[in-house]
Order: sequence, then C-alpha cells, then structure tokens
Amino acid sequence: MKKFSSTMKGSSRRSSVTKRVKLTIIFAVFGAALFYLVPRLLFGVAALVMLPIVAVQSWFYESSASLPQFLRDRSALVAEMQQLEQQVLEHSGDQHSLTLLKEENAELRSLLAEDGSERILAGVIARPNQLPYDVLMLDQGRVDGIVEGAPVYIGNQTVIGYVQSTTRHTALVTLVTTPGFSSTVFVFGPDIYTTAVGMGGGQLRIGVPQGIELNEGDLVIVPAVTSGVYGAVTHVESSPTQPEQFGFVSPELPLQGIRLVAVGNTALTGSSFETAQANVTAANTDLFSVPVPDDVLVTVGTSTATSTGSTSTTTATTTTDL
Amino acid sequence: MMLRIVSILLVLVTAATGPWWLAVICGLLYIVWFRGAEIVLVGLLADGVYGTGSVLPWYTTIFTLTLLLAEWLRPHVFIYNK
Repeated sequence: MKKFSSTMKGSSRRSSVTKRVKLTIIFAVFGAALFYLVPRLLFGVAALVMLPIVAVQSWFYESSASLPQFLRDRSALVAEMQQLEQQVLEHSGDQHSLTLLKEENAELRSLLAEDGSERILAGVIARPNQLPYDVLMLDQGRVDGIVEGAPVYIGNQTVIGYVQSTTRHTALVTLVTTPGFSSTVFVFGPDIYTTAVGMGGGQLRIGVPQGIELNEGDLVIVPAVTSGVYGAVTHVESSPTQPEQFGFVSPELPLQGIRLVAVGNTALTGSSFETAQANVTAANTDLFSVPVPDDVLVTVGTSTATSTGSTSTTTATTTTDL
Repeated sequence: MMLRIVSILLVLVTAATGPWWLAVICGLLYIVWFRGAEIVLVGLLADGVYGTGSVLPWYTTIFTLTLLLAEWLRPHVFIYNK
C-alpha cells in the first residue's frame, strides 16, 4: 500500500510538472504569435488592462492634488524648499519667482513652437530607466489630438522621436536613439551628412571614415525634420588601424531630465535632400546669429563713427551696403 | 491563494510603472515561489504596452525561460523529493 501510494504521488507530481511546462509553452507561443502577428491587437488589449495602473501612475506623478504632491519625493521637495527659502531671503522673493515664471514660460513657448505651427504639450510618465525599452510614455493620447507618426520635440526645434502608438489617454514614443534606429544627421565642424545609429539611453553613434576630422563638441542636427540641434559629439572613438572612426552624440537635455515634450499635430512624411539642406542652412543661421538691439548693433550699413579732436569734431556716417 | 493574487498584481504594477529591473526581480521571485504560468501572460501584457515596436518581447522571454529553468532545476536542487 505504501509503495502504491508513493508511486502514485511521484506520478502525480510528474504529471503536474508536465502540465505546468505545457501551459508555460502554450502561453509563450500564444504570446509570441500575438506579439509578432497582431501587435496592434496586443497593444490594444494590454493598454486596456494597464489603463487603471497608468492612470494612477499619472495621477501620482503629474497631478497637482495635495496627496500626490505630498508623497512625491518628499526629501527632494524638502531640500528644494530649503534652497528656495534661502534664495527668497537673498533675492527678496518676488524677483526669483518672476525669473522662474519667465523661464517656465520660455520653456513652454519653446515647446509649443514660435513659428506658429500647432503642437500638443505632453508630460512624460515613463522613461527608459523605468522600462527595458528605449521609449517614452506620454500622458496625452488620441482624445487630446495625438496622432501616430507625429514628431516629438524637446525645446523649439529638437526632434527626439516619433509617436509609435496611441491609446485614448496615452501615447508611446519611439526615440531616434532606439538601438538599431537609423537617421540622417548633419555634423557641424566637418560639415558632413552621415547616418547615425541609435545606441539606446539617448545616445547616437555616427561612423565616418578616418580622414574626416571629427572632434568632441561638434554639433549634430537631424535635418530630415527640423533645424534644431540634437546634441554634440561627446566622445570620439578612433583607432588608426581601423578604416572608420565613431562619434557618440548625447542630447543637450538628458533623457532623465525631460519632463515635458511637444508633439506635432500631423504625422511625419518623407523628407527630401532639399528640405534637409534648407534645415541645415537655417540651423547655421540660428546657431551663429544673435538678436541684437538696433541701438547696440554696429554694422557697415548703419554705423556711425565719431572722433573728437582738440580743435574740431568730425562725424562720419557710412552707408555702404554689403 | 490571496498571497498569489497580490504577488501577481505586484508584478503587473511594477511592470507597468517601472523600474524594469524591479519588475524582473518581482517576476523571478514569483516564479521561484509559485511557479505559475500566468506570469508569462503578465509579461506579455507589459510587452504589449511598451514593446510592440521592439524586436523581442523581453518580459515574456525572460519569464518563460526562467519558468522552464525553474521547472527543470527544481528536482535537482531539492534533496527530499524522492
């Protein structure tokens, strides 16, 4: 009897293990089929299931209600408060508040484009350090006007990716730095067009032949969409024995520091080389020109030179146009 | 049973809100403790939300392989199961 019981128990355990393994394999195969064959359906179902969690997360991170504000990184808030108190004492409060508001206003104006094109402001609720993928999750979705394929900006002109998919209240952004993602870039310094490949974590890698002088600090733009500077070459990997050298590009604003982004209201369409060249020219103008007030700016066309001697005063005005 | 439900919900929440390594740790602990195949579906949900544009569904792959590994290893590491 004991032997029979023992045999039955072992058999039952084996059967249970086999059943679990079978179930696991069935789930995995089913999942892989959904993932590769009907990803949109999977995204829709998953987004529906995750909606309450994402909603709570959004409330916790972005809401201005008392409770989430209190819970949000309390120690950081306390430290910031002490710093602000110190600054308020130093600058008598109002001036500092005015500066902060001006900066925030400038940031928002910059995000929403000064050229009049309509953009949608969105908060970032998930970043690459929270996810194993190089994507951003935004707190605005279809009902807010986000469309798939729309470009995503930080600052006024810098494109960091595009909207890959949307739900009613969220949107998923694929970054240009997603591993394997290729994009055409223009590098100031050597003044060349080349292809950049995403490395993940906000890093781009550009590969050029050894003869081209690539230096740290060279600015890089993605001219296919806008003339905004994506970032600068932060490291050059060059070995004399290799036929090519690599430059690694980091964005001006680190991914972890992105709090708000702006999303274009139309999907990206293909871009021509002429458009890219126009964007490079615009970037050149933007980068090296500064708006100087007329009364300060001295040019050949409007300059006034005055010399005063001991006996006479001479004023000469030149009106030569260049 | 209640502990199992709470644990799977914990894995789901960490997978949805991150950080990703915490979700993976919670998932692995769940696998070691309960060996439930439903963890694969949780991984699939997380991959469905964040990874539909990716080459590989990372959460699903990790959870499936670990689950199979756990099933294979378990008889070898326990002494008093015969």
